[in-house]
Amino acid sequence: MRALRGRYYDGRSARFEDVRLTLDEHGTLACEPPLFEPMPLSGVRISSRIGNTPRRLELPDGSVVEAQDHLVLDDWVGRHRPGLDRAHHFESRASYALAALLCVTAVLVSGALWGVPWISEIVADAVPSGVAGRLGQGTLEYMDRIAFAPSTLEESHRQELSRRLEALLPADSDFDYRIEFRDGGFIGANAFALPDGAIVVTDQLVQLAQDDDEISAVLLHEVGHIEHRHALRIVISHAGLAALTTAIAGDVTAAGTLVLALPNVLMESSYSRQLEWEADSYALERMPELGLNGGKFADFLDRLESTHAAAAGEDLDCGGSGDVTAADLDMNPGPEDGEDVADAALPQSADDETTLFDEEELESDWLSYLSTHPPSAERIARFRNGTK
Amino acid sequence: MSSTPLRVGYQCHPFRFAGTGAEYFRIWIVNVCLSILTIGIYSAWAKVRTNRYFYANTSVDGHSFHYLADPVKILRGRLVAVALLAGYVFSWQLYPWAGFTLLGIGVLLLPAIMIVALSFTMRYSAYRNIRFHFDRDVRGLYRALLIPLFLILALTLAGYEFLKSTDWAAMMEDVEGANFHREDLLSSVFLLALMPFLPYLDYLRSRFIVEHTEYGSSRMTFGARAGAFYGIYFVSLFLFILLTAALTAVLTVVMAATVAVNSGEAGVDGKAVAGVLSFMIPFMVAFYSLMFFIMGYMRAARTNLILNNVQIGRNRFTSNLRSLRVGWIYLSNTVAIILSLGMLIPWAKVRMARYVAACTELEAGDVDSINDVVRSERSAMGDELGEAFDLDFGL
Repeated sequence: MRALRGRYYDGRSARFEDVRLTLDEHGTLACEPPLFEPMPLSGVRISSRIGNTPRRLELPDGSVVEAQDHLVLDDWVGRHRPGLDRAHHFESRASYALAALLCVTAVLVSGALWGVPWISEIVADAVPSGVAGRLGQGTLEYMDRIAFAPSTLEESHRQELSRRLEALLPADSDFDYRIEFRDGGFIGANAFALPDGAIVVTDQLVQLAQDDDEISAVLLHEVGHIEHRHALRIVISHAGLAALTTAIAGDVTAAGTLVLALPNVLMESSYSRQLEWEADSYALERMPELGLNGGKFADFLDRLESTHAAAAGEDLDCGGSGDVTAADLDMNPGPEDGEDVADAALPQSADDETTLFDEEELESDWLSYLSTHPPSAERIARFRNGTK
Repeated sequence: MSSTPLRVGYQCHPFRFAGTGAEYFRIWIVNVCLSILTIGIYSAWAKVRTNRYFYANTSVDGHSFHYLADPVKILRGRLVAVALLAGYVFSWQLYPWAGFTLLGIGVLLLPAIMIVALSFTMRYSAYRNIRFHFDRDVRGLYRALLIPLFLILALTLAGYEFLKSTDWAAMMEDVEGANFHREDLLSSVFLLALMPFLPYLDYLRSRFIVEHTEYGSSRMTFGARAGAFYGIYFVSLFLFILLTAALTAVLTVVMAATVAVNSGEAGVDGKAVAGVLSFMIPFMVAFYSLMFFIMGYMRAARTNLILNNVQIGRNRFTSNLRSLRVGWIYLSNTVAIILSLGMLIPWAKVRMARYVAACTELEAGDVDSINDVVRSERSAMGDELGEAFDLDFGL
């Protein structure tokens, strides 16, 4: 039987003594020199193995023997403490490391793409609408400060559009629906849904529409965002993903956090596409009953798309800077979220939208994950076909 | 930063770190995987195993450090922290005033939380089977903070009152109209008033931690002065200003040149904008790369200052971290982590630990100066009392 060389610390002072431990066939531990009486190994607390670090054999009186001879220790533990080194078993083999790596990658990617959004939908539906509506308070005020100006639309036209919204509303809704008219400033033609039921419509969007039916279709799309509580779902998703990544990161340093932002980007970009798609679905479903024509909405999306593309081409000086800001709001929701659902309403950030489309048309499914909105061509086709 | 000469009769024991990146990678990835599969519950065990790996691989004079914390207690602390954080986040979303109140309470409690967490870590750290101990002198810490905090608040209010009364505030109101709220100035003025106190607060914190730490029955003493902290912060600030100014100057010249070359009679065209944008990226890269070296200076100088001024019984430490080397490790670690999509995190952590250990030494007064350390009898009772507050928030 091989002896275990180690160091004995009595625990009362920092002094130590070199010792040799032996274990007989009955499991009795003896020390040479005899600093403690022979005792059964079952009375000794052995620390589990980590890497090749020294292990502690804690004796009942508070003294400790530290030893690093892993051949002997593994043998003793294997015979007398099966299961103690289970963690080390997984931690010391390349095959388990590879399996763990694949598992982590799969969980992160699928969690960011499906898991977290799915759970957040369940949670969001469970939240009372009064609470859900409180979410975006202050968003409009904030947008007024940084972008909007008072609307210059005629009062009669505003009333007409508000009446149209009334006609669109689902019968049993708890939200306080209304239209907020604004001059869009650098944001241009756009519509935003706030979580409490306010729909912001810019003058530029109203001017772009050929008739009010087109605006009705836009409003319907926004109602879809609100009814499906997209703002709340985004807030919950961010919290969920933060929890997931913190669990993984644990005590990772600053550089690690950079990498851990990746799933966030992944989720956000694919997620806002998905939410757009859902709001479109809501609109498509209700259009026939309201006597609205999907093809007209498609025409409108088309026009919106080309207006922005043209603006980006002609007027880089102001259009460029405006679009960058709009894209910023789009991609990085601040603490007072809401605005990114709101903002995700229609493809307005033409500069970076069009570039993304171009790349997308060239090839690659992967790139579509990086675009914030469903490619407009796809959305437009959907509304055309939905009516045919 | 220069090495302090060895005193006569002192024995020098270098620190060693024996871990390797490949070995730690396997431990790390299993920890991460199990933490995910158990929805974070295993993370407490993961933390203990990680700390045990880093402690036990660190040795001085041939003896290893040990981390002895119970994962269950860490899990309990984490559950409390997650509950508080979730409540805080949701109160912000739903009732901003409640979030604000909670934030205020949290800030007031921060020193106490720091003490509780430190005390936890120390109590479960051991060397030669003698534990460290942290004296939970909560009252002492708040008393030490009282005067600086009072001065900061007084300075904030004075600065705010002054700004409010100037023509400048009235002018801002004229220009910005309803968008300008004088109250918004308060937070900016507060941050400005806080700045000159940061080195002093850092000094207070470092001194408090060192002077309340005991190894066995011997308490550490701290010899550094507040002025040395001010020196480090001033140099860091100076380097930062220098870096920003230099890059801004170069960028301005480049932008002007690009626009001049590319713009025709029709004014600025797309090519000019694209040209400027293509220059922005290398500039941001250069800026952040150099920032790592400023961080490296800060870390090296601070660690050296603190460690070189710690005395425990007849023993003291020397730390010789070099700014450029630390900056380089920060920069190359970050690049490696990003390019490897996080897979090199373990390698990076081991690399830093090895460098820090290689730069640290223990100067023992004589052969028995460590041997004579005895277990503290008093601390054992204090620990019993502290069980109720046995929380580790992972600070």
